[in-house]
Amino acid sequence: MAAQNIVFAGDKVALIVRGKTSAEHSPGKLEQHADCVRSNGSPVGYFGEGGEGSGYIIKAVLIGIQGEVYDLDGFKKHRPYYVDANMARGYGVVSTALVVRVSSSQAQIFDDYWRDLTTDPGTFRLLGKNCSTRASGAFRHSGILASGIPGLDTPNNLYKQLVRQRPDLCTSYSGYIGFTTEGSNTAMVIEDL
Amino acid sequence: MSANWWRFRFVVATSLVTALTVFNLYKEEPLAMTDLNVQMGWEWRAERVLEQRLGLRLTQIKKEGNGLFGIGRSPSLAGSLPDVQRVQADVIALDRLGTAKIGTKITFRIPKIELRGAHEGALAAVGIIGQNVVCFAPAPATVSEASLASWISEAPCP
Repeated sequence: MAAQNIVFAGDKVALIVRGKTSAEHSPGKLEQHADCVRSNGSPVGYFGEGGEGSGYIIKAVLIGIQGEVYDLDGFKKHRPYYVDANMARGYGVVSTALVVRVSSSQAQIFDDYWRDLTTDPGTFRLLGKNCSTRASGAFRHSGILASGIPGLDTPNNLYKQLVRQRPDLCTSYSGYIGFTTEGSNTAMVIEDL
Repeated sequence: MSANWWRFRFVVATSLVTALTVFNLYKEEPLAMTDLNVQMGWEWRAERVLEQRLGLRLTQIKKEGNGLFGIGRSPSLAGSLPDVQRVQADVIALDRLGTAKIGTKITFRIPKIELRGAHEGALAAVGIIGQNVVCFAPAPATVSEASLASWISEAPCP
C-alpha cells in the first residue's frame, strides 16, 4: 500500500477531520471529530469526559461536561486508531487532513493555544464548545482565520472554512492516518485507502 | 377551556414523564459496584505495565446502545468506542492480587473488534490497569478451566 509522510518542522500545522473520507465528503454530524497537528508534528485533540446514561448525554449537549485534551500518549490509550495508520485501517477509520503552511510566529501561537488548553481544558459541550470550536480557536488565535466557524461548529464546517478562506495555504490528504518520527521531527503518515 | 380538560392534560403529561423516567432507569442498569460485581472501563494498553491478568469465563456479550438519540456514539466523547460491547464474565483465575478476585464477576466495555471472535461461554484472558481492561485474548481450544491460570501469564496482551 502506498503511503506519504509529511514532515512537520515548525513550518506547518494541520486540521484532521475524522470520518471524512475525501475532500468532498460531508460526514454525518455524529460521525466526525476534529483533531489538530502542532507545528512539531504531534497530534492533539479535544474531547468530552466519558460517562453514561441520559443525564450524561443531556449534560454533554446542553450544559457542558469536563473537557480533556489528548496528546500522543492520550491518543494511544483512548484513540490509538487516530495515531496508528495500521490500526486506523483495522478499525476502518478514514480521515482527511488539511495541512496549513504557517509562519514561525503563527506556529508558536498555534502551539501555545494547545499548551494552554491542555493546562485548563475547561468545559466541553457538543453544541458550541466541542472539538471543532477548540480547533477553530487555535486557527483564530494564530491569525490563520479571522472569524469563528460559519454555521454549526462542526469539524467539516471548519475544514470548509479553511479551504474557502485560505486556499493559498492549504493542502488536503485523505486516507488512514498515523504518526511516526523522522530524524528529530515527527511526520504524519497517510496511507492510501 | 374547562378545568377538567386542563386537569386531564396535566395527568397525562405527569404520567408520561413518570413512565419515561422509570423506563430509562430500567434500561440504563445503574453502574453500582459491589464486591461481587466489578465494573470496569476500556483503554488500550499503550505500552504500560499491567497490574493484573485475569482468566475469565464469558457469561454475556451484549451490544451497547448509542445513548439518547444516538448522541453517545459521537467520537468526540471520551467514552465512545467503535461498535462497543458490554461483556460480563466470571473471574476464575488471576496472576496476582488486585482489583478483581476469584469468584467475582466483572463487567467491562470493549470494541467488538478487540473480542477477536470470542463468544459467550468461552474462556479468555484480560489485562488490567487501574479500573480498565486494556487487552483481551480468547483462550485457544487447548486451554481448559484447569489450565487457564498457567496460560494467562503468556496470553497475548498487545
